[in-house]
Amino acid sequence: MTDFSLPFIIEHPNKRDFVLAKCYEEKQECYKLTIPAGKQLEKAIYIKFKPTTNDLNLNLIIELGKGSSATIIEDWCAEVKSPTIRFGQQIKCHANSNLKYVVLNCSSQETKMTEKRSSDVASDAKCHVYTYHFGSKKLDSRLTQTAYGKGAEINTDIIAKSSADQDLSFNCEHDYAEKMGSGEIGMKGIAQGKAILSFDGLVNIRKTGSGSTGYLKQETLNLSPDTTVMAMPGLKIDTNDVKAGHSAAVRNLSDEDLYYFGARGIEKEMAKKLLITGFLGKELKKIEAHKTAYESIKKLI
Amino acid sequence: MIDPTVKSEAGTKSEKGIFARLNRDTLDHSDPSDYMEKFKKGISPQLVAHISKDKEEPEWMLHQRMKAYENFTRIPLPNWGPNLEALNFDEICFFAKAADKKGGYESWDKVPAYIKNTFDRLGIPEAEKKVLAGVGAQYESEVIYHSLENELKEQGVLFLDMDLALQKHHDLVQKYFMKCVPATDHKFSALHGAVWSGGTFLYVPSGVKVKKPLQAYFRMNAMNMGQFEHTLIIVEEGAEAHYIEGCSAPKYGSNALHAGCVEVFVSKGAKFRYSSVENWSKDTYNLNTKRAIIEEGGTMEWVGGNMGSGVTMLYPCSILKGRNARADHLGIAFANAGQIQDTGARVLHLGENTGSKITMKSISKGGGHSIYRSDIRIAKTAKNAISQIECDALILDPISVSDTFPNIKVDNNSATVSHEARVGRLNEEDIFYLTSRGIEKAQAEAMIVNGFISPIVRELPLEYAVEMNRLIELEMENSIG
Amino acid sequence: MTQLLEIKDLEVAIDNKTILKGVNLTIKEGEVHTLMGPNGSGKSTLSNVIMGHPKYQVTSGDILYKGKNILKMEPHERALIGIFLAFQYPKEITGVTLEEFLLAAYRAKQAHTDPDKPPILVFRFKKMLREVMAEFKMPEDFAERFLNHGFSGGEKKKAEALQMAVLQPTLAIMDETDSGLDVDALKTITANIDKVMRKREKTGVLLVTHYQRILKHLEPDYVHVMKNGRIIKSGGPELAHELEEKGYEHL
Repeated sequence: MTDFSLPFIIEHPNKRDFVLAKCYEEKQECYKLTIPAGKQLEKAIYIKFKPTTNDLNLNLIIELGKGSSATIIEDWCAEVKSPTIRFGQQIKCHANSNLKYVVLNCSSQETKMTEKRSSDVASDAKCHVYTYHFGSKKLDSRLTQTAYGKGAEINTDIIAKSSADQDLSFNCEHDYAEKMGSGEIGMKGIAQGKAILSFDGLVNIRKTGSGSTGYLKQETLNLSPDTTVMAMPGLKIDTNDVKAGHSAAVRNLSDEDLYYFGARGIEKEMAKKLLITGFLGKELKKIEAHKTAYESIKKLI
Repeated sequence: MIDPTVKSEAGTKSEKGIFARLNRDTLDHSDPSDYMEKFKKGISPQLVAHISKDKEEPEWMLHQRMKAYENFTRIPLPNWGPNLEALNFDEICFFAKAADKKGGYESWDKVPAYIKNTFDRLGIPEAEKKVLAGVGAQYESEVIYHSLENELKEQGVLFLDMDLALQKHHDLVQKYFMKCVPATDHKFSALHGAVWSGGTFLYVPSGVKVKKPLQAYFRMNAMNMGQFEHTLIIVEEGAEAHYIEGCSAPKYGSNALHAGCVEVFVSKGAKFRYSSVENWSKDTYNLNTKRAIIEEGGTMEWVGGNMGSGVTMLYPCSILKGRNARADHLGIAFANAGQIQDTGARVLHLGENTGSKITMKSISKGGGHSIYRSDIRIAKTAKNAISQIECDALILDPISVSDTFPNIKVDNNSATVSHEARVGRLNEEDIFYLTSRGIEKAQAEAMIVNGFISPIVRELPLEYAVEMNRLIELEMENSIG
Repeated sequence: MTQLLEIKDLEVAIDNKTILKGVNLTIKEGEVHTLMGPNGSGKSTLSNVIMGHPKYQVTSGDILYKGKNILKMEPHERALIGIFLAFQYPKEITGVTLEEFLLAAYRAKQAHTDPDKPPILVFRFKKMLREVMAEFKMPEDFAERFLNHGFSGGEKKKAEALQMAVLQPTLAIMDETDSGLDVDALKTITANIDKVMRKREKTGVLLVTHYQRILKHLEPDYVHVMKNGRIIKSGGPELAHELEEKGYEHL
């Protein structure tokens, strides 16, 4: 399936497990990756974006047929130096399908990226999106997951680290439109350097979403005096047979913790590294199995 | 408002205390003055000028009013929050003078049974019932006021009607009036700046600690109906006081719009608590602005309950200007059928080591819509600031709605901010337990709801706490607005 | 025998309030000193000042370690030269496991004492850690738990002593290690302190305690009593017995 005209390379041991097609859209390049119904992929599909210096305007559709399951990793770390990236994505998970979708963004620090991702999850299907953002000069990320079938499970984990001069803005929404939906939004940030890091989240449980459970958690470590950190965790609850909650915290590493590490001979910078890695703990563990991705991310912390 | 220095004797109109007006009113009651006809509804520069003239205000106040009016016409309605398009400024009466009060009932007989019942349930004393119903009656409890008057007088505390304060303590008022909430802030503070009338002026001198809460009994004055009242509170260094505004009894009247303003100046090391229980009638828009500026080492406490009105937009704001300044916001909002309670808190941390704590509880029932909005900002200068927010929402039935939209912006990395919110329904197990002990379901639910809000209610003085609880029971029982 | 620790006329303040008002103390290699006293006497403050806690200001006096003034050294520098403090209230650090923490500390020490040697391999360290944990009768899974997170008071104290056994310090300061421990745990910990001392005779121990219980298991060479920021009396082990009988007030 490797086509030289594609902006990315797809890696997977068995190319017959999925279907990649080009779709036709007026304004952008558009591709569709389909996992046929019933197919259970054991190994992850890697979508690696190729190095390029041109602007990129792309739409990627992912569709998981009924009862299928897959792990797809979208990798933007290979020196994608495009000045501007406009990325759109629609994920559709049909009934009883299970998708684990990982986005690794360590594109160059000069890139301006706008991403708009949405996922529609049918009854008893599961979709878990993990996005790790360590790149881009300016990022405007919007992600909406909709649980439109009964018992759908939607989860989103956003991990972002900002350093000098970055302006990273994340908007994540979970929409529970049907009964018994569940899931959580987790947004974790490390704000360093002269940067802006903004988390805007919303858990929306509609009148039709009774019995649903929706949570939102935002946590940011604010490490430098020049950063601006924003947190806007929203809840919009239109019916009462629900369990919903949210929390947001912005803090720095505590002096007491750093003293404890110091008292054991661990100097400040090392202590900070351990504490920051610990802060991301769970989220890092989730991609441990995908060695290359894991190593790239660890290097950037 | 009680002005301890003035007796109700002959003098200029504005120098007489409210009781003078009250007395005169019951006599003049039946014929509204002709000249008020043209100012019955709508707002215009002429009306604004008339208000100022009628109150015999100094030039600078007239000037401020006119400027505010200009801003009002210029500034658009907010593009967020509940829809305010139904507000027709042309249909609203902006200046209800004593002799031509709008709203209320002509006589006690005409007051509907359900209102009378509410008063009975809430245990409102006779004299107050009539005043609340807007029927207008003699206020008989002057004795209480006079003794309090003397206490305050000895301490140098000034506690009087705002209109009167402008006359009698001109320099003090000029120094502070609308410096905390400028008329340019938003459309409704501009409106307020143009047509404000009446309200409370409270001044506590340095080091004076007023032990008794200063209460709203003073303002059973149905005449003003509190539409655009201005409350200006100045607490000097090291002073302490507690002011309670409003009353939990419903106010019946057809004043569609309340755009009042409360400004509090908390000086160095001073402590002030502002408690209010607002329960306007369900056809009103409650768009009051409340704000405090807190200097070094000062503490401000906002304790509030919002029960009534059709649409409320109320976000008490604390500006922690000096180092070690502190603000505590405690609030309850109850949105029943047809109501939108859009409330919350705003805190701006400017000084070092400042701290804020916000505890909000909201309840929505019968299709009511409760919204919590907060805006917490930690400026670059606010080293080691700490802010903690907790808001919980109870949605009592499937048709009611609850939204929470907190907003946090941190520009200093030594600050610690944490926010937590939970939304849910009454726990079936808890209700079962209570009903299994013979308590009727509606009552059981009311008990649980009262328990839910108890951390805030217990901060209110006893009689208000009791009224608050009874009000909750009432709201829980009837789904009619 | 070398002077391990020499505290001379130490005065310490916090937020302009004086807590230590002239402390003098000398600990030689191989000695076990006990510091006792009522609550608020300044015992914990002294322990933390020796370790270098930034919130305390040393207004006067000196602290010498092996003859060298350490007042200008950062806490981690003091740890690397062999000072260890077992905290009274160890911090809970979520996200960092006990194992990771100790590995980082162990490697830091290695890099300092043997800069030419390669750092210990992870699997080797894990093995060594498990052996020490077994001696402390600590379940193996504690190594993978977040540092002190969800540990009971006693388990936290044990974990501190475990850390000491792994890092093998030259001067061990135990701040109220005995409080909150049951007899068995106390025996285990004191046995290990003993072992650490016997293994390296050049170790010195400063046991800060409020109660006497620990002294039954670990006989001190010297007992000091602290009150109101000063050491008011020093003596041999008999002083401890005297305190047991008569309490602090009579001093």
